Amino acid sequence: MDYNKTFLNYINTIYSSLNSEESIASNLRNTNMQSINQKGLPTHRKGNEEWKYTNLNRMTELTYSNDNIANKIAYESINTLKIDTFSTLNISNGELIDSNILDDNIKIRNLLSNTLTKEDIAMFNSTLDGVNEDMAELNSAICKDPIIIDINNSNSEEKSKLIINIFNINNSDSYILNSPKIFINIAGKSNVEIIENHIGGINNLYTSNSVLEILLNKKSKLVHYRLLEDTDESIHINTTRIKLMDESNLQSNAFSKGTKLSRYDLKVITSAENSYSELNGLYFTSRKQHLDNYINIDHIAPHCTSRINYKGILNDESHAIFGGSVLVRKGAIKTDSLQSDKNLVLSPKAEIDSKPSLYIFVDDILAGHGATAGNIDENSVYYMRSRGLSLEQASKMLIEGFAMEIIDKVENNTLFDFLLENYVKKLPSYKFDF
Amino acid sequence: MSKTILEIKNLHASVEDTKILKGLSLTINIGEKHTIMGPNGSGKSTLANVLAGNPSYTMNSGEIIFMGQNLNEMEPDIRACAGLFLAFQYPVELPGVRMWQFLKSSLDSKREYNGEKPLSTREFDNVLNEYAEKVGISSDFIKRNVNEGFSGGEKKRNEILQLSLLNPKLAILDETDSGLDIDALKVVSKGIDSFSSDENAVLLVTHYQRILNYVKPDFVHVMMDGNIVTSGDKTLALELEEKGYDWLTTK
Repeated sequence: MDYNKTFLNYINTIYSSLNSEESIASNLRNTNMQSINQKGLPTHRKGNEEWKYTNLNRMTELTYSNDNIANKIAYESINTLKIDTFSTLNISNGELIDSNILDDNIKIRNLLSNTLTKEDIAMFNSTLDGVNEDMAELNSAICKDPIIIDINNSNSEEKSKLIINIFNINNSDSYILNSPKIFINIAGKSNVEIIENHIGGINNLYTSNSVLEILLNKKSKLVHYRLLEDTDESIHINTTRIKLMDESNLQSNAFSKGTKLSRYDLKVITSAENSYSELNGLYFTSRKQHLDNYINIDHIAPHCTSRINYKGILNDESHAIFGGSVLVRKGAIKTDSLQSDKNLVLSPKAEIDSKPSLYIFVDDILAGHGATAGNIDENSVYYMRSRGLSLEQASKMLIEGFAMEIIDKVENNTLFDFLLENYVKKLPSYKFDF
Repeated sequence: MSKTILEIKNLHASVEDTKILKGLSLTINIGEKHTIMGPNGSGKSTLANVLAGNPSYTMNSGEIIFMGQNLNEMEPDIRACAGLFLAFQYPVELPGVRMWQFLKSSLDSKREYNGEKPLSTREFDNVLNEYAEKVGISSDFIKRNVNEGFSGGEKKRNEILQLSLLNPKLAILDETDSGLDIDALKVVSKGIDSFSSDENAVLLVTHYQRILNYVKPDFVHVMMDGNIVTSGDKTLALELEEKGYDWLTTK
């Protein structure tokens, strides 16, 4: 059976229902719907490096319903991260449902509240370049409620802090498809901290195909946290594009728990000189989960520094992937880039495909990359046991220690504690196949 | 309690099918300090690792009785809880594992084994600070990850800190003196000296006579080709320093 065809029919149904309304987004949707209909979905076929290890059949073979209305009551019952000092934006099934903005420097506009202008619409997809961005096009074709967040605190001493909750609620037995779409424009010299939290109702069935675009203007600074807390049975696809202007500074920290299928497609584009970006990631997979990190840096401008530091812990029969590349273009002289992915594979049936790559088209740069995969170090376990720790205790401490290297980068205390409670404490305690 | 802490009889052991120890026997009584010396490859470190229960080493035959128990039947952590301690020649770095947590868990395990309650955080901090000061480890180190980024000397001091904290019945020190500058050597020696009492025993494995200027052994044994070839008092160490090991092979 051709699942892709059935799935595309479903997309076209959603598209038609959206475009029957008068909307300033109709052009955006139309262009992208045409493109998707023409190209189809990304395939798993040989030679398609970007999708080599991920088969979207896991998403398309599911039974979908068209009943993805935002459900305000349901999301309020979901227990998730709350921080008093942060403004909050709640998105449910792709619609902005409410917000609690504590900071005048954060301005929000969205399609469904009729606050979005034609100029705003032109901002969407401006950081995308269309190469391998089929899933972003799919999002653009059927996004219900594009949201723009403007943050300008250049005149303030205070950091602007925002939690964006992306809820997915579905009480039916068939899947729904949500397409949240967010553009964040951070003004020059602004200092911002954003927590992007993907979450669903307990055991709810859904596919979330979200797009996040961020523009970091001159001398601005962003600490971005991404929490993947979607349900076990969910499909999570996210395309994030971050454009860095002169002297901007990005720290991106992605904490992911596996789901039925998840793919995080991140690209950072250094458009102007002297930017700094640090991309940290920690992912855990278990059971038959499939998690794909596709992490890219496109070095266009000279004198930019980038660091990629991802770590994975794999258990049971799960499959994780670290792919993507650092591209250093011809003009990007004096680039300084390091890319690393390390994995702890706790089960003989778990699989990691770690393939960081580096493409350099200019001399006079510093660049390096590396990947590792292995079980817990036997000699470390022996050392710890010789101090009286049991095998279980020793391995648990080593697994936690492996994760702590990334969690230690979190400076926000509430979030740090949340990660200890929700990630570190839930790690498998030990596995041995020595 | 018997005055014998450790009794090794006719021990044969190997690593990856290579026979290293060939019928070694040794008895250590309470209150004694023993030193094992010998050239590279004579099996000194193998002996230390077999005693601590390193899974890479296999005991082929013989008997090791530690505090009245058959050591070969005990897991490495049970040996530690029962009072055996090995200071490693190459202490292992444990990325992401905090010193404090590691040391507290170690002591708690041992106390639990002995039917004692774990120390409260405050009680533990007091004990830890006291010992850390003695071996010259600053409180900053306690916040760091175990041995990660420590210099050679700092790692060895950390071993002595663990020795003091866990207060074993038998301390085996595997070339703890190697790679130390004179100041670190003094700190480490002082640590061993202040640990040593008539209620415990020390087995010091070393390459050099140097540390014996600070830690005075009651017995010196010389190992060659997997066995103890001669034993004596500390004058034997001085003789070795002067003549080397060659004269023993021709003996």
